Amino acid sequence: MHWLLEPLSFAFMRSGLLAAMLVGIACAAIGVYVVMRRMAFIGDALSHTILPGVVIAYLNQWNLFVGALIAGVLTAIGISWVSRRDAIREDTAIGVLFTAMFAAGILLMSSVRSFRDFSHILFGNILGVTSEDLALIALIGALILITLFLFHKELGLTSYDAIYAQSIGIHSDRLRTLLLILLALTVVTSIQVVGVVLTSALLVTPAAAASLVTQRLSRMMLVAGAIAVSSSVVGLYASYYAAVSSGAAIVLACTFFFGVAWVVRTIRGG
Amino acid sequence: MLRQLSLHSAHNTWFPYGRRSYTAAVAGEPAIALHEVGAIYSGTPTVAIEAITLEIAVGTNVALIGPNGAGKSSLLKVIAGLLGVRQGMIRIFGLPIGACHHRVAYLSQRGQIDWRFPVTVYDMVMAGRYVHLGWLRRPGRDDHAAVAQVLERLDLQPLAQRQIGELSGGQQQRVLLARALVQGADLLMLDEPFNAVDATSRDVIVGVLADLRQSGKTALVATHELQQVADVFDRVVAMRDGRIVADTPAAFYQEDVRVL
Repeated sequence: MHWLLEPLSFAFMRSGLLAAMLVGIACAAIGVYVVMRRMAFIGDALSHTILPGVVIAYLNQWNLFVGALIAGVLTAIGISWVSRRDAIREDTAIGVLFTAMFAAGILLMSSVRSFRDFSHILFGNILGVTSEDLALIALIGALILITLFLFHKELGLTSYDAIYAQSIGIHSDRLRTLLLILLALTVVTSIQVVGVVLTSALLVTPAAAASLVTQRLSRMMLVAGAIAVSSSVVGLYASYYAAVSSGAAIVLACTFFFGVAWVVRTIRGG
Repeated sequence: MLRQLSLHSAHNTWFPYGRRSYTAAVAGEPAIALHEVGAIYSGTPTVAIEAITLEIAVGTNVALIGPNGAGKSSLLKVIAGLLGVRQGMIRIFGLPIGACHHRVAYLSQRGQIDWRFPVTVYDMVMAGRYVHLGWLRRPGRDDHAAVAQVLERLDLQPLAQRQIGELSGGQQQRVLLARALVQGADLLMLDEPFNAVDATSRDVIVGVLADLRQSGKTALVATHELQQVADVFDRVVAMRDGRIVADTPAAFYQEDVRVL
């Protein structure tokens, strides 16, 4: 038991673990929509497009979180606007936009003396979570979960039959914009845990694993949440005892659970 | 009198869904009245339908026939408020499009639905009640009773907890019809309900259409399969190149089909 309790004697480990679990639950819940609506590429793009927002905030000594949030929400609205135009395929437009914004972020970063200042943005800094960060993560996580709960019937219907939804007066494109904004919020909070580069793994892997073992949307969210929480615990303990990157360890723990789900499905003959 | 329409009624443009959209039908008005209606596909200059004038009385079943690309689906989408109107005038039960969503049920083509999304037959049919529930409200006892009744009517009760992706084409079509029925609409617009269905499902759908007519509901059905289901229709409207080319009582449809 000592090995289990020892890491928790440090305040930074307790805060880190709590932050990872909160972010994991929010990512898992919205990740189910990301996976089932095939929006994984958008999730990845969103995590990269916030980089210039963060760098601009840093250069102006603003709050980095707020910089990320503004860039994320603007990108979400931009993607939603682009997807309504027929001139260019949505994935192509997103590919162009997100690489351009990520490049702009790197360009701005290169104007600063040291890349080290941004290493926690790129790779996460879970052990540096402050109590203010934790409160903000909890607040945003609660906002995401409550919104998904309140609009779950409309979000579900527009996911599989947007045309019928439109025929009864539900604006599918506005709900999609709402989902993208929630996704941007989720991405911004998860960057603290795993960084820009690995954020999409938290969104996609637990939800994809859950989709292998259950076909009910609500159950899928619960299973994905359990996988995300378990991965946070396993990853953070592994990082503590093996002295490796915590973000990478959490993501690899998610991948391990995905492998387990894959085996379970194969044994069941699915 | 018909007036120039807007796609949605002036009120509730932002949040038109739910109970706030309930508006009484205008007494004595036909279920559908279109005058010189034209529409283009969104984002393109391609004409979808052109100069459509059509009046359908309450309580009639009308078959909409024509080759692929004739404009049948586009006409249904215009009436359902899914495709913007470029010109002309249109009224549904004497009201502008979108004035009362619960009164009009639209059955999409199967190909427009993501059947791999994780949802059960029961929940998909329950979606037909959403227009009555609106934002934030959960289905109540009456909604569950309505769903159970329609599932029974369409012989879908044994499949209620099945995932929609596990159904055959005919079963999927019956589920879509069940969702349209559970809405309790006065006007049903069905886009290719007989497409790729087995004989059992076709018979069930034909039975439902007959019941609808008896209960005074109006149905506009786009179909390729008129030969075996003609009995349930009062009128046949034929389309080609986005225009109506024939409009005749169903009893005489065979002669008019040659027009196509």
